[in-house]
Amino acid sequence: MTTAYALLILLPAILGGVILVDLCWQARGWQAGGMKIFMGAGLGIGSAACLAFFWLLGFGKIGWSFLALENGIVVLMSGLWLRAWRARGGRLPGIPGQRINGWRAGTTLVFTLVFTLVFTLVVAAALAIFTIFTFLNPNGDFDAWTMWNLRARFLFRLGSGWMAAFSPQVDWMFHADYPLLLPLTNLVTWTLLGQETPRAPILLAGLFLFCCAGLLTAALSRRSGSSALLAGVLLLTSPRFLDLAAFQVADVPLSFFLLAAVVMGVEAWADPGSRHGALALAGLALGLAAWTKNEGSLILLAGLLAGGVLLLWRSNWHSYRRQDAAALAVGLGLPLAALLVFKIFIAPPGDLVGEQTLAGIGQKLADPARYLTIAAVFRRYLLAPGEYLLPITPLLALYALAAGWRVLTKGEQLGLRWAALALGVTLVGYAAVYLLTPHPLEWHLRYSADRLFMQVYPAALYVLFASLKPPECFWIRQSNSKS
Amino acid sequence: MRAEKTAAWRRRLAQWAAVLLILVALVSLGQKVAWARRLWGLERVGTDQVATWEQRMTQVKADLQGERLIGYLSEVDFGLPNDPIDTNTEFTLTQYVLAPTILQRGAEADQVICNLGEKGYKPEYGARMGLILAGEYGNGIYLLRKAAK
Repeated sequence: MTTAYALLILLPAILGGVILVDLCWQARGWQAGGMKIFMGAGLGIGSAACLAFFWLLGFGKIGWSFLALENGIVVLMSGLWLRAWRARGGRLPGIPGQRINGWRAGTTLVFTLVFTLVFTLVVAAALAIFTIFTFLNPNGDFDAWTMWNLRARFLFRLGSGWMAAFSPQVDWMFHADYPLLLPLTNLVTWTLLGQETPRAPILLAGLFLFCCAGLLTAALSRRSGSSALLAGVLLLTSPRFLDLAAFQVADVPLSFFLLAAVVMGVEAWADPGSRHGALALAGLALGLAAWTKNEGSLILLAGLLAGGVLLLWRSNWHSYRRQDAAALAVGLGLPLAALLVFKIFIAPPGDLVGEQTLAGIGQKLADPARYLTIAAVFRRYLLAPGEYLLPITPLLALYALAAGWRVLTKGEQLGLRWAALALGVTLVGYAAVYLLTPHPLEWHLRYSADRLFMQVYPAALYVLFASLKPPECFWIRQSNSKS
Repeated sequence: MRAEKTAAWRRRLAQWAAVLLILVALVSLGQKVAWARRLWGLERVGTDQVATWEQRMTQVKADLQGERLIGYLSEVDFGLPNDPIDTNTEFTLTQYVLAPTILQRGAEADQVICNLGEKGYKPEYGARMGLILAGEYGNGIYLLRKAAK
């Protein structure tokens, strides 16, 4: 029952997020509907955590009045949605889903049934694994009780004296400088439930796991049903991804926000008609990534840098106007404001920058052994992310070579190039952080590198499968298999 | 003709690659399911690290209610043999249980939790740091206080 109540407490945030996504991005079709639900749920929860932060700053503690605010926002947004709906003459919104040269998911019944059956089994098994682990470890794993749930516990137990949770006396191992999306969401749930129950972080971890898989599948199903199911199966069968979700750590939520940013970024490039709304949502997702974990700030910078590079490289970059930048900034506004206020005025210095000297940095930059160590670890996880039975990247490469690239519109090409570049820059950024880390390099790599690769994995699967011909093209002989 | 053959060969390769991907994914998931089945057992519910530590620290937590800052010493601080579980995991678990009291490594605070496991406490350990024994809670957990000057 506690879990159901916790879900009820999160419901206004989830509903608000879904309505927001629908207002901003008016694609139609059941695939787009699925995307809106999965993306909206995560974006709504993240946005509510930003509001909770400003509420704490303003009023000192969370209470029922905060839930009233959330409900008020949902009512207001429902009114806006109804107005938009009536303005369209009561029809569902407008942009048709894209399909590859006439291909439709489920071209043959057997083909669709087999893929759907496998996917359903995988979802059930993933849920079972998640449930068993969380039954046995309801408080998650090391990082959960050291950082995310610990911070929520500090905030809940301190009440109106919550600022003490960020005392410089807190040991660096507890990372009091880490952003607050997860702790604040759990704080709101605990406060309104009136108890500090592990059900809240468990529910949050489960929501982000299945929203991430759902978003990946729904987003790809706009292009091909079988590609979508194949990517969804790959994500939900990654033993490491399932572990991280059940561990209640921030890597899966971060991977969700990165995926949402990439999906909306690609839509923005691919479809000029919905560019502003998609850009606002991409900005919101990037901002929430930064509000989830410090790595999210690097992802945000990588996304902006990749976008800037592509715009400069394009000859007709003038077609991207100030309104585009404004749309992105509107989406970024709330989470970025929360992050900046937190980092500038509240958080103690982080362990990665606190004790660095220029001489020390120079020494690390000039040490070739550090580059080799990082390259070796990165090569290992690039080849074999996710702890599958066999290294998955060579298999994906073989599949990509055989399937070939699908015919992309100019906009899609740009969007997918932007996404690939952003993911590449993110990984280079991670390598740079390791290069300069004040901690012993091997230790730091051993305890975090595989998780960083899992953060980008769902988005990388999206980019790959959105770029390739779908299985229908080489599985079912049809007259239109030329795509 | 040759182009057709190449296309057919590529199609076949793509089919096999897709099957292989799904197989690897399913076998990996199967292994994980088997792992979860091995792990499962109702008798193991409530015996996770946090629950065990919460239980072990119940009395310490009650005695330190309302304290803002507490010190923490373990094997490594006395030059005793130790591993990362002694040094880090139990430190983080203790902080998780005692929050919002801040746990600070070392003996700077007025009261210090000393976690020595099976090695046990000896008065000379505390004496080295100007501390005296104030409480013993079992499982190698002790509370030390600054000795009066």
